[in-house]
Amino acid sequence: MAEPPGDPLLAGLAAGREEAFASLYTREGGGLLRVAFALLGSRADAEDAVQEVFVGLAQARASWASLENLRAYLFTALRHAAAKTAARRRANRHEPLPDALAAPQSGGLAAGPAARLERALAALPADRREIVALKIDAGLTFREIAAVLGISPNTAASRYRYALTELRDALGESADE
Amino acid sequence: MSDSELPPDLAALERQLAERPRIEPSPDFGARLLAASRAALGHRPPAVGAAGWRRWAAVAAAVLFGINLSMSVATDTDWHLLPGPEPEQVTATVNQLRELAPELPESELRRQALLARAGAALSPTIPLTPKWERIRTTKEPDRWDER
Repeated sequence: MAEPPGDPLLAGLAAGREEAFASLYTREGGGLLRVAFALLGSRADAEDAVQEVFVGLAQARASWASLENLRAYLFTALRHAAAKTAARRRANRHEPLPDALAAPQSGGLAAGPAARLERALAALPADRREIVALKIDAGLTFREIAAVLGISPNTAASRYRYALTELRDALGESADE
Repeated sequence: MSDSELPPDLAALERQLAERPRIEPSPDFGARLLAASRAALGHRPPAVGAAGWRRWAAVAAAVLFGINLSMSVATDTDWHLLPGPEPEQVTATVNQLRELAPELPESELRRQALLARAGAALSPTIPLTPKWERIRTTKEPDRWDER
């Protein structure tokens, strides 16, 4: 979604107005946190990553006036912040992660369809989990997802479909057990 | 890709994912994040306006320095014309011309001799060799019309 020229939110961010940051948090904070959680698997790490995005935004706000796609920028910055957070966590805990990024915890749901869905989602490879989170949890369009991941919108749609197919298959297998 | 482009089972799964309970930001997280953003805004680099003001001030200082230097150079440059030809040189030239063209009257020989001597320095020569030490130390003359 390209931002309209002269978007007051962008102008407010570029001018460093605090209320613009508050509006942006209200609009995108939930989606950013959910995607960060899908990437990092921990609320604390997810919050750190989202905070890093906003701090980076405040520091580099002079370049925001010419920004064309605010959401794509935010979620791209979030990916970088999540990767840095994951690297910090690996360095601090000295424990290897099974995937490039950790799988999220199931949120304490022990049984039932919701818990099965959450476990199946957590078991997906990180890139599949990421695209589902960008689409479902953040509500990005395929064009925006394409801009975030550096791929074409068609590829983004195909990957999303593969992710859903894998998730469906995983749910079918767990139901059979 | 919308729901309608997905097969029914995947579309149902998509809806199930969208309706599942998901984490939401806590109120204290929002406050913490905005406080961190506020702190980052407080340590912002100089605004563009201030940077522009400094640049123009530097340009103005450079222009004033250039004007001052060029005035100093102009003040210490000797703009006087070179002295005219010596009478002996003119006489010698007249004699040479007379040998070459004896039919010319004396007045024309003298005129040609003066022109020939002037041709050696036809335009006023300005010795552009200001003394840098003087430029650096000399004060501007109080009365310009005395030079």
